[in-house]
Amino acid sequence: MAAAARFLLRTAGSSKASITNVNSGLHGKYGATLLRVSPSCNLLAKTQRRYAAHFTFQPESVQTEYGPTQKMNLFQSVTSALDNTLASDPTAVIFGEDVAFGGVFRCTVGLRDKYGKDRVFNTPLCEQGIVGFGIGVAVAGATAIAEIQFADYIYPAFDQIVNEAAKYRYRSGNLFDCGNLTIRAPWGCVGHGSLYHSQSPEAFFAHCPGIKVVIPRGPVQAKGLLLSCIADKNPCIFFEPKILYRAAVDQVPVEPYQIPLSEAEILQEGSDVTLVAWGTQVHVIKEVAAMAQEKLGVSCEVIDLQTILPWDAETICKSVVKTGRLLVSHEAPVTGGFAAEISSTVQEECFLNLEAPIARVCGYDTPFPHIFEPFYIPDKWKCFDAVKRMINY
Amino acid sequence: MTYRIGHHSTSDDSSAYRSVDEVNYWDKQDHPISRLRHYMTARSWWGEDEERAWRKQSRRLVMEAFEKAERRLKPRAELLFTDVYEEVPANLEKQREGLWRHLQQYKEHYPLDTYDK
Repeated sequence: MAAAARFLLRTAGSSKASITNVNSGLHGKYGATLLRVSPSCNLLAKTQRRYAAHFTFQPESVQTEYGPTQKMNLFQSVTSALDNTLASDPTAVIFGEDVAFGGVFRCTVGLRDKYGKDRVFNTPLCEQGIVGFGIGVAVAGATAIAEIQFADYIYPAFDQIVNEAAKYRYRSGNLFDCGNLTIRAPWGCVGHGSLYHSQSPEAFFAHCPGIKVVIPRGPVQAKGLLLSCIADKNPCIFFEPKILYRAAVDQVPVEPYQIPLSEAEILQEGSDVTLVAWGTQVHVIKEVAAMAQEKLGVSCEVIDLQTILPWDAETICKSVVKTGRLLVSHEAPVTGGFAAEISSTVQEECFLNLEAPIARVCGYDTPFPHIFEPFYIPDKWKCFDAVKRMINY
Repeated sequence: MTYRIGHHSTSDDSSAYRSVDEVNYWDKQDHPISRLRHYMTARSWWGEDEERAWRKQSRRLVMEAFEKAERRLKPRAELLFTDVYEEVPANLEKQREGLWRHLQQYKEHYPLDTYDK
């Protein structure tokens, strides 16, 4: 069960940081008596620190168009977006497992104290109930922000999302809708998450007309895209790359701002190969672009898709018309993954422009493994190799 | 019924959602293992010395098991593709071969030395 399987974020230094937080806080004096670090914990932490993260996060250049900025990591930028929403929208409510005391990833820290327990509250361990309740809140006209503790545990809510939320407007001939519903969930691999704390289920939802699916690559995008999801008049699923919660730090505007949905962002222009990804994987392909330039003299165009549904085919196709080559990469299994949809569309639209078969560098068609994660993930070396093969095709 | 005395994980501060008094009650006053020990001690079936020796021995056993397990290599990487189905279907076989070829070419970038060959 979701809360019972609460997760340890033990990427380099993070556990230390969180323990420091715990001990420096109000409950510090109890920390020592309660914290029983068993030998297994020590060993586990040691084993897991052995390998560096598979990507490097480069902060965004500081944007000033939305006013003053503050240093925030990804979970703080999510908190900031939620804070802005609760402050400006008196109907907005936040609910989910453990959100009242800040959530297991600390995205809602302080919000209950600031806005009251009627607006930020815990739910029972029942994802179907969380989303069902959210639909009702949204249909009644309030702004519903539901948290599913892990994207891996969104499946019990699948029926509510796919059969109720997504179809509400259509089946009532636009008489009713639950467009005020936003569902947030931590998403993606984290280095040691294993089967149930690593999944990237965006493709399941991409097959579901009526909802929007959005995934940010860092703190600046997380805040702007989340605020767009909340404001959007359609039910949205917002997947947050959990490995970036602490690892990604940007200067993020304090005031609310929106980043448009269904628009991909070209992060780097190039002429030989188009690289497309979303979430954490954007940082992998950025590094691949640099490697391709340095080692092969190949110029890559790097695109962050940002919205999975409805997606920005135009930006991708325009890019492929220019470069003639496309690589799409995601952590989810390759079969039926969203790369397949992109690949199919680009093949239809840009057939005569293609210089090489479209490459998909994705997870394998297995459950997300535990100790085999270093072999499973579509890392920079697999992507780099695919670029090389496309160039030599 | 079970009750967790410690935090859920190293990144969990359980005092945020349950009182320390509650935890202490179960830990100090109503801990079923302690109650059994008191019961046995009261009947002279168990004593301080036995308790100390038993704890020492148990700790050693656990630490030895950890140490032994840690020295073992992890299973070979191709087992990533087994047990998904009873058999290995063609798509997984192809992916297995793809990974194998990739690892041949880029082996220095993977922690192969900690895995069985």
